[in-house]
Amino acid sequence: MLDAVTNEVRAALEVALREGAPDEDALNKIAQRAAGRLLGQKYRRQPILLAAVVVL
Amino acid sequence: MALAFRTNAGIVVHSGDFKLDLTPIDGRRTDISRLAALGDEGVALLLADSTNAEEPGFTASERSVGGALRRLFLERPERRMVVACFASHIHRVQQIINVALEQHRKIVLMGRSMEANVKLARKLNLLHVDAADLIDIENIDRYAPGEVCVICTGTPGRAARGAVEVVARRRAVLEGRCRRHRHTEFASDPGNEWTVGRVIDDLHRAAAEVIHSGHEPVHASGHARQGELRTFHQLLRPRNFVPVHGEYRHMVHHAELAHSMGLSPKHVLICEDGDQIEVNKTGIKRAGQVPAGFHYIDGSAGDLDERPLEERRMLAEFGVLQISAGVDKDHAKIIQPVRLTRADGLRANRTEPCSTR
Repeated sequence: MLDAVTNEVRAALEVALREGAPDEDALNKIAQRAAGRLLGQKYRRQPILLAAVVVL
Repeated sequence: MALAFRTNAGIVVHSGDFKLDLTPIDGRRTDISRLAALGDEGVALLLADSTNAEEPGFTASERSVGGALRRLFLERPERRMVVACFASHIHRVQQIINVALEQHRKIVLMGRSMEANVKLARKLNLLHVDAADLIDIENIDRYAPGEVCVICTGTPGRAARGAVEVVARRRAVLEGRCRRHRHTEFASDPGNEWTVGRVIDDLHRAAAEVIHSGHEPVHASGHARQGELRTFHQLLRPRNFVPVHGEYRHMVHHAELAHSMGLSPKHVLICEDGDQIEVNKTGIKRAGQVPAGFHYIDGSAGDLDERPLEERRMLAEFGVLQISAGVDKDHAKIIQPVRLTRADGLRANRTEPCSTR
């Protein structure tokens, strides 16, 4: 399950980066939404999601 | 303790949580003549405990438990005895202590509420045990199993973990004894069967020998059975009746018992939490609703609104998932891989989707 979530988050971040995501806050929200969507819809889980996407 | 309220509509009697025990441990028998006097005066409304309304006959006296405990203890002189009961059931605690002391066992109190209740009851002179006979659980290994009796709390409710903790979680303390050396006694009141069943299962997993009220009379309910309920109704002869205290099915059975005692259906009302009722000369009826249910407070901060409660539920049920990654915006690349860290209700080996929450 966590591998699937990791892949989903990675894919969402890659799309956002290609489309020019504005800042870290936006990237964090994208990561949270991607993980939350998969966990909620497929696995019926709603953990608290803490995202820390850092622009290096 | 029952309460009688004198109101403009007449006398209202609330039975409280009761049974009619004619041989109580403290010698304070139910004042039956006082109940009859209230009945003679006229009771407009009776609200009475329904927990054992499904059970025929009379509830055993609390005193009967002492005899059963004494026999079980005597049959197991070499074993460590772990007895679970309500922390506030001082009479039961006293009986366990008496039996244990007769066998020259030291007493271990397990659970904060048990320690608090025993401390208070000793202070009020309601419970009699010398401080020298009480030992801390940390010192339990200084004594042979047959020299110790553990009294723990939490049999019936959600927090019914005291005995499991003694036998399983405190294994570091209690380990090293063979199966026969841990002996636990259990019983349940109606409505608590599921949680008590889980505790008993857990005790078996922890290799304890478990004796409960299904095997031995180690428990006497604190709730009146049908025989006592009929006596109670006959003494008070209420004009109206509302069954209380119990699951819904218990209240239905109690209502049927009231019908069989001569009350017509329009004088009996089964209520849910928050129902307002109106009593008048023609009968009893539902007259509205008031908010009722759990009321959460957060320390001294006052009421909690829904959002933090929901967050706490999610934390408890699903845990926390931390997502971290490092990106290079200029080259639109992820340069530190996406990593998930969990602390929680997400099981590592769970790969299949869940069909239900």
